[in-house]
Amino acid sequence: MKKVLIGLSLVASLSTLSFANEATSEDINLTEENKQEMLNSDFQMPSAGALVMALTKNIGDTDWNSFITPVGKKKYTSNEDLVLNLGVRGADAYFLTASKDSANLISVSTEINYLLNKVQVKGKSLNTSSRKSRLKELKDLVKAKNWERVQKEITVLQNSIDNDFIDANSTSLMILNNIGGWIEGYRLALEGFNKNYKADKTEILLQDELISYLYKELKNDSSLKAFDKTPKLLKTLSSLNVILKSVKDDKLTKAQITELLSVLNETKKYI
Amino acid sequence: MKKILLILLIIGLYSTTAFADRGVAASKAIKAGFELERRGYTVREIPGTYLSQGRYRTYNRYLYGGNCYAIVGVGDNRVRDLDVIIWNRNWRRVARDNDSSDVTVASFCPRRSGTYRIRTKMYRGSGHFYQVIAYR
Repeated sequence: MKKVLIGLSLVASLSTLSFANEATSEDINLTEENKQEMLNSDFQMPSAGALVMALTKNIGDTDWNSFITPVGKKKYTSNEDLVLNLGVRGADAYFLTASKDSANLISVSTEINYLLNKVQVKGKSLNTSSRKSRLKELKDLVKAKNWERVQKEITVLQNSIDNDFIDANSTSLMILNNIGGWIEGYRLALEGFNKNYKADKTEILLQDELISYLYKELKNDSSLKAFDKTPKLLKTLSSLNVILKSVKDDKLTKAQITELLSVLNETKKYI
Repeated sequence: MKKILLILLIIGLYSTTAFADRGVAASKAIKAGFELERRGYTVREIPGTYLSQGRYRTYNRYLYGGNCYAIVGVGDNRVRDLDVIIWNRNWRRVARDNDSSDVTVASFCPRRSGTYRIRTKMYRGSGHFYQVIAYR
């Protein structure tokens, strides 16, 4: 009975969900101390899934598949390198799901499986037996073109990988996974705008907050100083922010998009 | 669908340090997640923690303009009143739920992409709470 009441209470509360646009309500009297405390609180990077959904609403359906090259044979140099690429492939998976492309997504899933097998967290492989079976299930869903479920499975997979890094206190690996995912998601977003430029929708590309966050995390992580790709990644993030600082009226020009894209395409070759 | 929510919940469970009565709050979070999914949302995460009366917890989350977000807070049986306020990066309040209920529901569609500050306060009671963060 109690369970039923809890359920009813939740449904009643959720029935008040409405979709108001962001209101410009009055300022709240927060002290500087309050603000600082909040700024220092828990932060999590947004998923590439949320980005691709927002992009679809801003610029419409896009053939993301055309911007994602199939995974070829690649030599990974270290555990850090594997995790960085795991982030990249995770983002690809979200975008390919939005494009509903089975062939490329199966290829990316196979690569994710390979990377998960190779990545070591505290001496253990990330690819647990339950994760392997979930990946298999994911491939089956892709083959069945059950895109809604595919998208949810990828979200669960990404969250559970993040969680493994958190549990193992592997902040460095978490940062690299975030950077890989963000760089690829942002590159694809730029490709989308490059193909279908809508000046008044480019505000979504003003991601200087995320760039600064990733730069700070990477720069301050002492164990990533030895990773050979760290200097290049820092330079990339820094270059992107320089370009974004030149943006006027919150609208990126086509030339600025091309410039950002050129930085990321160069970085992608290096990753 | 159930499996997905259970895994999301486990992720949430791992991120907290206290244990008592967590199951009740967890069960409510699962129900909230189901309800949100039924309404077409993707549940991104379910972080949670223990809060005593008068204390609050802030989650900074980057939200994309174009999407709509639902942020639902649920507590265990000792929680009497949870409130939530969301500010944008310029400290303008964009959503809130401060009624006298142990469930908070805030939904909004940000005009601009950016970091939003989601602060949940244990107004009355003490216990575990979970914050279901979803988008569509």
